[in-house]
Amino acid sequence: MEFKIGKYQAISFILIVMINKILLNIPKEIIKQSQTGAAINVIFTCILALLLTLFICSLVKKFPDEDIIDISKFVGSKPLQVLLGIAYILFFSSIIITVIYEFTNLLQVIYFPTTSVYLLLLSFIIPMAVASKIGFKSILKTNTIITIFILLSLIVIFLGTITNLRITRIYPILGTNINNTFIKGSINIFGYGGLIYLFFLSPLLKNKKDFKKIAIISILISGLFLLFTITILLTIFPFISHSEEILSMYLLTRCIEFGEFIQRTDAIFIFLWIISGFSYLSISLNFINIIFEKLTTCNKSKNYSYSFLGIFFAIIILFKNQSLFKFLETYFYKYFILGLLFISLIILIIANKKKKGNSI
Amino acid sequence: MSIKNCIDELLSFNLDKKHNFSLIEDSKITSIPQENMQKNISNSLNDNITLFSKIYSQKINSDIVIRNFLLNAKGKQYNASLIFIDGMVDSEIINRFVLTPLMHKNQTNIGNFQNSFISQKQGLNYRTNKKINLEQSILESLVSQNSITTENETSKILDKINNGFTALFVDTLSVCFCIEAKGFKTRSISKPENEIVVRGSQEAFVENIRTNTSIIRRIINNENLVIEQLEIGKITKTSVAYCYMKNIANTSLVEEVKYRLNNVNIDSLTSSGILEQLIQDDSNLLYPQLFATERPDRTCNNILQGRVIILVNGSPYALIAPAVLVDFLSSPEDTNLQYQYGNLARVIRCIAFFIAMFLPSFYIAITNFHQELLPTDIVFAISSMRKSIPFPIIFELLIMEISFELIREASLRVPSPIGATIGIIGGLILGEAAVSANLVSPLLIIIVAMTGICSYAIPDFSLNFTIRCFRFIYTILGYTAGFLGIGFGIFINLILLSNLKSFGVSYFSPYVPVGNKNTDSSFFIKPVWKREERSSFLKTQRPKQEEKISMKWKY
Amino acid sequence: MKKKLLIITCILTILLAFTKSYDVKGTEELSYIIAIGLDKSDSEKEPLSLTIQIAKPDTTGETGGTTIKTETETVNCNSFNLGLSMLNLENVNELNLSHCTAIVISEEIAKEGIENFINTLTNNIEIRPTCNMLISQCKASELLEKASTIEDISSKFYSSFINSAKITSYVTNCQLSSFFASLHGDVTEPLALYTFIKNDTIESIGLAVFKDYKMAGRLSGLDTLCYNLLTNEFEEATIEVYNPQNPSIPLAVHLSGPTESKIKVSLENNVLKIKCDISVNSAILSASKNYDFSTENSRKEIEAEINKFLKESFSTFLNKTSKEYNSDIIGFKGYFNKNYLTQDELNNYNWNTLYPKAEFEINVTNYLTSGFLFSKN
Repeated sequence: MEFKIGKYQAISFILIVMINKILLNIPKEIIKQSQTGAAINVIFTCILALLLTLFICSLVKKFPDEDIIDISKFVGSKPLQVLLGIAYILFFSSIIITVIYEFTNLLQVIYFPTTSVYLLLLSFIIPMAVASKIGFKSILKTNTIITIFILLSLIVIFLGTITNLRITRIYPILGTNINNTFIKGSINIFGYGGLIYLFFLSPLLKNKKDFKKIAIISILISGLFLLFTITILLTIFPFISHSEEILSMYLLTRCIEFGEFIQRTDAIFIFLWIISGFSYLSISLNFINIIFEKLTTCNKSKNYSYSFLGIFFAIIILFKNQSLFKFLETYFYKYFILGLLFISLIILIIANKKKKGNSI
Repeated sequence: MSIKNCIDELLSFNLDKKHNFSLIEDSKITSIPQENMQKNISNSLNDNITLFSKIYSQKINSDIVIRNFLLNAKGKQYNASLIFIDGMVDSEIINRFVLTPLMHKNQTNIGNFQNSFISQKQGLNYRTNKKINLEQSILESLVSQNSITTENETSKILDKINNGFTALFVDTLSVCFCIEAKGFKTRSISKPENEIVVRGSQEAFVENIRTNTSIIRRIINNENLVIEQLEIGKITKTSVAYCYMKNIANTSLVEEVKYRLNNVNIDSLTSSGILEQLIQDDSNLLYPQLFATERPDRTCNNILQGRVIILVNGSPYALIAPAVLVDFLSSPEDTNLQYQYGNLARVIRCIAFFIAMFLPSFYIAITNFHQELLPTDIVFAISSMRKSIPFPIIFELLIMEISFELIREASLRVPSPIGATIGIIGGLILGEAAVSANLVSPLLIIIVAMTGICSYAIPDFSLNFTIRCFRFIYTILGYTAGFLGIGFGIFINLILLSNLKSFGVSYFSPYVPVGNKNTDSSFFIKPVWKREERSSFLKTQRPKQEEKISMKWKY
Repeated sequence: MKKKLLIITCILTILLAFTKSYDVKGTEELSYIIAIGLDKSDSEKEPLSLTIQIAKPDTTGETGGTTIKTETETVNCNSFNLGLSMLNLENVNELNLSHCTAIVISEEIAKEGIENFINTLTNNIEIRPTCNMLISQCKASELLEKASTIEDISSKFYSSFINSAKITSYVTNCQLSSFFASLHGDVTEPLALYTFIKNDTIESIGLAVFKDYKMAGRLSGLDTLCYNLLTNEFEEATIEVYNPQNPSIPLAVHLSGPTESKIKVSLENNVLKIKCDISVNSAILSASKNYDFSTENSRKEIEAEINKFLKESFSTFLNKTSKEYNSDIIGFKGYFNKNYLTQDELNNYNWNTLYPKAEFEINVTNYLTSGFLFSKN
């Protein structure tokens, strides 16, 4: 990387990834998985995620200037690198596709019932194209500004809905049974998608020593927000786990009321989320660029980002029906993220062993 | 050219060719600290001159004049030098009452040893035995100037020179004569016209560059101020000066300014506005990237912060580089007032910035796409007001916006006595008539007027234009796709702005990337005693500007 | 140059392509529905009768001041959405539900079950979840018509008349979102405001209690007060209690929050024991001659009187909900669930059979404070 980012930019970068996942139905999936035990489950998975973060930190420490793709080359030379790179590209692509789909779907249902989907898609594709043209550094800078507002918006949502909640709804506190909440429920660690991005963070950092701090702070903050979101959703909308389509956070914003004057403010939140969505999408696209650059010999991968965008556009249009996205969103994302985490960890462990062997 | 080429061109990147400059951390050059400096001057003229030309960076400093001449006294000739700052002294006085009596051989100069000449090669102690009291003779009979003192401490001499005295060094003498020959060009330094403040100095720059540099000199009053000068324009050869504190400003910043100024290749340069466009980083972006001010106090504050300012002969504006977004929202008064007042003013200006930029677009987006956002009574009020209006809302808004811009433009041109009338006629009567003719709704008049007022609350003239341009863009985006459109615009705007650098400094500094905020250039100003540091984004050589305890009397 | 042209054409095409959204209706082209009424119609083919109350803003006078008049329209239909589109045909402007503040359902139809349209209403993107749920004793259309004839009506009519009724504590918050949540979650049962026409005005006292999708019965104002006290939504109320000093003149007592009710639900020998501790502040409003309220004895006497009164009201209220309606509107089930850690343990018990046989233990404490009375002659 020709540029480095500071502490705050790194934290906000992990946070925006997490928050967008919170906005886009991750809480719903978690509640579906562990019912009333979701609150405890989130605390549990947060601790798991923190442990995992510490583990990743200790593993990555020896490779301060390399991301997971470089490390995989170190471990298994080019073939492994290509395989892992393709897996990551698929992962980021699936994220981009689902996020664009979710947003356009939401927007079309709420505000643009007569506008064609193509245009709504374009209004997401164009900012991504512009952002990738300008560069990753500006995206991360912009993201720092945006993240603050998004976090504020979430806090406002929490404060606005807190009067509606009925705390007895979270009982029984451990959900259906202990097995479901803790053992099967540990799968809910997929909610901490920011973990994946940690593998790419280290080479971006200005001060490598901050890595641990950044990782822990960002995972903690996002865990806190996830906990709040899930508790509030659980205590206000017990039916959330069997609702369809509409984003769960959107339902919350519709309930916000501050007095007689400030009502029906959901449009403002949608407005903020659109901007955060742009930011998230651009970051993911740039990771595809970075990986693509490493896998191939082209050094101007920005040019190829247009082709990627074209492909995404085509996929979303081709699969207009919801089933693909449902699949991507629930199963693919959930298990793919876990698989990637697992494989990356194994690669890191092997790399550490290898490095130790080399040094001796 | 085929369409394919066109598309290729559109999609290709010229970014790599772009001149990409960013500030490099200075390797902490230890400037000559006051303690280590030679305390007293020596009796060797050469040593003294070297010392002072080093202190004043005479080679690059344009207004420091060192005049070497031969002094005739008691029939002998001595090497002597005058040091003074051009623009601070009256050259007439120096010519007639200092140089003439000293250089010409006259009655008092002729002594017994007319032919002897003290060369430098000879030992210095040689002639002092002769008991010619040169010092006495210069003081008493040679310089016919009313105020003259002798000093031998370097720092005191520096103070005098900075104050507009002329220093006379004579070989063999370890004292310096400080002759008062002050002569500021105070011609028509008038009140600032466009940056009016209540508390603050009331002088503004004038067209003459030398007068301007002397104003800066007088305020900063320090030998580390460097005013370099060069000429731009093959035909006009306009003199352009750039000033900085050599012990504060980042050297790479100074080099960059020098580099850009030296590589401006034009025939003529007539104003600082043209120069601004020639040296700014990105001229396609609507945001101003150099700050222009007509106030010397503000200019000096910025020099002391470690920035570089550029003066153009013939233009009463100083350009400040680098400039960040916060600078354009601050007024010189903010720091003169108590910090709470200043902060209140800044918050209000910030609100004004957002209202001026977004109010029309949000109005149009809400009324077209997000009606539920409005309180029910207001929705009913709007819809009943708009019932009888024939135009769609976008048309109505654009008509009003454009006519408001017209009023603004027209009232600039009309002679000042009737300028106010135009405003009243335009604003009140036209608006009233438009409402009663059912052409526009009263609410829209409120919105347009509000936007207009808010855009006047922005202190900077260029940023005002930026806002006006963007307002139209956002209005169209808001009309096209509501909040989605505005969000689209804001995101792209933010991305472009994040990419923008003004002389290697990120435009959103000190907030993104995060820097220290206890400085003069943060949005919320801290109390004076807490502004201990200079802005970190300027990467200055002297990061601290205050002691930890600045109010010593208290503790 | 060509690059610029291309960019300009791109922008123009995008702008033009969005023209479909240009004909999105502005505020003046929309008619805002303030309330929806649902009735049973006479015809068998179209069982539902949908009434809407539309705001008609009028510009009157030269200053452009607006008054808002409302009109009602009724149509018979099969389902809510169909009815709405039929009403759209009749109206010049497009109907918009985003400012709807009340859903009025007639008692008749509520007793038959509302599952047919409650899901449609919640899924409608325009109707706000903060919309008030009202059950009308008469036909909903009559109630809406009455509402539109009342002068000075504003868009806030429903919310403001409910808010003003809140000082009596005879009503409580009944919003669509909580109604729907209670239907689908299993902790509580849904509630709606009970409204009726009385002396040419609309009054709202008490609540309509639902068991699942069907209205089970009605709660009186005093019951609602108890409900508010138990759910900690209580703000203030005035009650009349027996005056131990002068039985002919009842004593007016002002109750005020903050209340803190503690509910404990336990299972003993397969019988639910529900223990409620309620504490409330009270102040005497009326004074009778030569009676000193400030002595310790009289204070205790009155406190006991208030406690007795409240206890009686609580027991009638709780018995009504459990024995008569079998509807757990307080959400005792949530407190019951608290005793168990997992759902699997809970599955051994059937709340629906346990609840009607529940035994209640009610403890009321109140703190009598001065009412600033001029009592002594």
